[in-house]
Amino acid sequence: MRLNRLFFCILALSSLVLLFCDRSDVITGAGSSVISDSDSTITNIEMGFSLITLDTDDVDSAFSLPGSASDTFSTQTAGWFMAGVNNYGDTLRAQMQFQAVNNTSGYTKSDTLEGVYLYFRAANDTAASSSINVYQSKPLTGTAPVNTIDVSGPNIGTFKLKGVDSIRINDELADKIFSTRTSITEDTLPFAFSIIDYTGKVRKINSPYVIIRVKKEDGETVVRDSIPGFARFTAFENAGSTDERSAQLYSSQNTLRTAILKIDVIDIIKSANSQGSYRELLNAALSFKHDSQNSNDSAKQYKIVVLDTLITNEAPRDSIESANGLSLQRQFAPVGSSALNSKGNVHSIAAPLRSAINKNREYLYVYLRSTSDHSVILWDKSSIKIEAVLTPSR
Amino acid sequence: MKKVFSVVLITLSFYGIGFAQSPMGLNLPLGMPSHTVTGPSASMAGSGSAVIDEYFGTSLNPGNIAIGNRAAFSGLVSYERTGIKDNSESSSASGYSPRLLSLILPLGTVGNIGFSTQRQYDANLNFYSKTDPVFPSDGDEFNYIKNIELKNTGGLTAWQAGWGYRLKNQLSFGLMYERLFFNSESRTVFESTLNYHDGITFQNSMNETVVTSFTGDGFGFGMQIPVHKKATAGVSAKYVLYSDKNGSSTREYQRSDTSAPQEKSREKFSIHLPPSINAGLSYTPNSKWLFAVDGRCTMWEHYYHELENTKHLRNTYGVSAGTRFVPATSRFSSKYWEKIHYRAGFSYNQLAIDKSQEYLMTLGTGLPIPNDGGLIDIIFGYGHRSADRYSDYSENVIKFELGINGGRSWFQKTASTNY
Repeated sequence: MRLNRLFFCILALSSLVLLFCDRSDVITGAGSSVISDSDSTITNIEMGFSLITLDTDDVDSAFSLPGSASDTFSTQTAGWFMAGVNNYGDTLRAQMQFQAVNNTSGYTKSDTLEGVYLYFRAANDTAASSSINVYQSKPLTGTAPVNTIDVSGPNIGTFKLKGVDSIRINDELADKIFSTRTSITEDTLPFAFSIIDYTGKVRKINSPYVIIRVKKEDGETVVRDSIPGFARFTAFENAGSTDERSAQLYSSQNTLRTAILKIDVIDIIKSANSQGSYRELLNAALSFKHDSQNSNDSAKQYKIVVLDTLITNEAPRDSIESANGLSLQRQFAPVGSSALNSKGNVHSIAAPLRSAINKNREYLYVYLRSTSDHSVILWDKSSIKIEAVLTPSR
Repeated sequence: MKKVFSVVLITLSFYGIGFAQSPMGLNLPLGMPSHTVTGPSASMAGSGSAVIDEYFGTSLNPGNIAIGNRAAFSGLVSYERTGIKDNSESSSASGYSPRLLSLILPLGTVGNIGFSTQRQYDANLNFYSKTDPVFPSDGDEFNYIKNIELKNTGGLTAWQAGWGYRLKNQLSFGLMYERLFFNSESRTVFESTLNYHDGITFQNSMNETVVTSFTGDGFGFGMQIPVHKKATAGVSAKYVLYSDKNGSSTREYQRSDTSAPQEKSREKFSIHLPPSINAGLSYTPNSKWLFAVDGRCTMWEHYYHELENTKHLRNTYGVSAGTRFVPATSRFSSKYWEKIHYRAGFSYNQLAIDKSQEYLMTLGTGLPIPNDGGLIDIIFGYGHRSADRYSDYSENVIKFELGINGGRSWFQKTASTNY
């Protein structure tokens, strides 16, 4: 190999060696006396951050909603329903509604209706319940609460829920349903049923469905047709317990009772506003614990919402208030559940606290709901802590 | 030509890898001056404006463009490690980068043209400050950590094109046009981390990024004057033209948990770079020895920045002296080591802030590539920077530089083989 090619190879090789040499390109600590001449906020790390802590002394009030008995607050529609009386004396009543429309496929008027049945499937517990009466009732609009007064129809049947159970609907209603389904015009028939006087142990039941059994003209073939239902349930709190519960940090999955902490954030606002410094909220976290002694064994999961405004309205999901974000249901709907931790739970609250600072709000509201089936959680007000870190504006 | 191309490619491939850092550079208008020269001059601590040598390129004296009747190129890459001592704290940072690429092309009887690109100032700094976890309450699992980071990257790069001519009395002069590009990004990050039990952590930061850029056009003139059969004097000067609103600065202010900047602003400004002057003397008592001494001045008192206070800046002066020894200059010498160039130098330069300065000592060799293929420079340098206003602060710099120089006769007719 010619010598100048050799030199060229040495040059290329040394270039590659330089390329893969270790690089150290961060100066840590040293140089601050020089850098502070240009910008002292970069080197004075103590001045660069302000940690503010709040604790139970800054909790202005702790309570739960609704303030008084409210069936609107406690109505849920979730693809399943609950009925019965829970361990705390609250009564859960349910309503399910259907809409039959004309469906000309499968069978016709000339076929024979064998019967129309209402089917129930247990969501979890398959132990036999005590007797459950089902009454014909009127359909409701939107997410209105279960109507316990105006039950227009008769008791159409009784069942004891074990796994899957059914009730045969009365012939008068069954014929109407069959007629609607086999109509050649665009007929619709809304109909509904309620469970309003079941006082056994609370049971969770999947949304029911109606089955229409029709025997074809050939006398042999049986066709099964189904109509899915829309179910809701309303919790009626134990009379006399509302006042006591509303004064506590009480969360109930059955009744949707929501614990609320009203936290005074004046100290943080003042620090953020003082002389224009420490204006930028970097980090904020809320930590708290539940009172495991007074929460039941079902207490496993919960949801939390933190806002700079107080929402007391549990408006129906399809209401204007809900659309404007002014209902708790709308606020909680997109939030995922968190698991209770015996060491305490921690959540970032940077976004709502930043909103409170920017709007000069005095309080932050923490809403807590329990989400595990039949769970009741009492929260420990004395465990509340907030840590917030602010930095100067630049 | 392939050699030239290869060197250009290798040198350019290093761009953007990393540049030297200096906290002191943060307080200087354009960053730390890098006094970029070719390898032979770098190993003599930057002296050589009066040295007539095609491998000294165009950076010190445009008059050197006129030297040589063949195409000549020079390239330089540099690895630099800066050790910082600040009271009881110490840290170090290193980086490597290309510094210069220079090319001179002969045009025959009308002189030579020269081109070069060089890094003139480095505004790099990556400073990080972090606290140990702070536990506000005893026995509490909660703690928090605070970090501040300042990251500056950028500097001033010059692209030059010039023409040089050598008179029959060996006086050479050159004219040069220079296009200057300054780009700098300064990013400041304030970060806080809250730590809780079970590894639950919340981290967020606030970033401010300022991107500054400006361009400038400058002209240079240089002469190399033979004052004695063994001595040459050199002088060169550079002036950057004034432009209105030739700079722009963009500021973005953003939290790390949002995708859009919270604030964004942009403004234009006028900036005028300072003129400079170089003068030197070289002496060659015989074919083995070369001595060179240079003095330079950058007139920072003429520097103008519309958005900054520049009244505290002072004119800077510097001197450098170097020597080169070649045991046997005859190409027919049988021993390779006798053809190696041995060089050393020393320089002292003031910085634009009052009572701040840097020293540099260099040792280097030039390894000839056989068959007149060029010269490879290997240079070691040790430097020291300090400022009276920072009593317990100093920067020690160790440099390792690699230079490549070569040339080829393109227009010289080859000897006829027809007999």
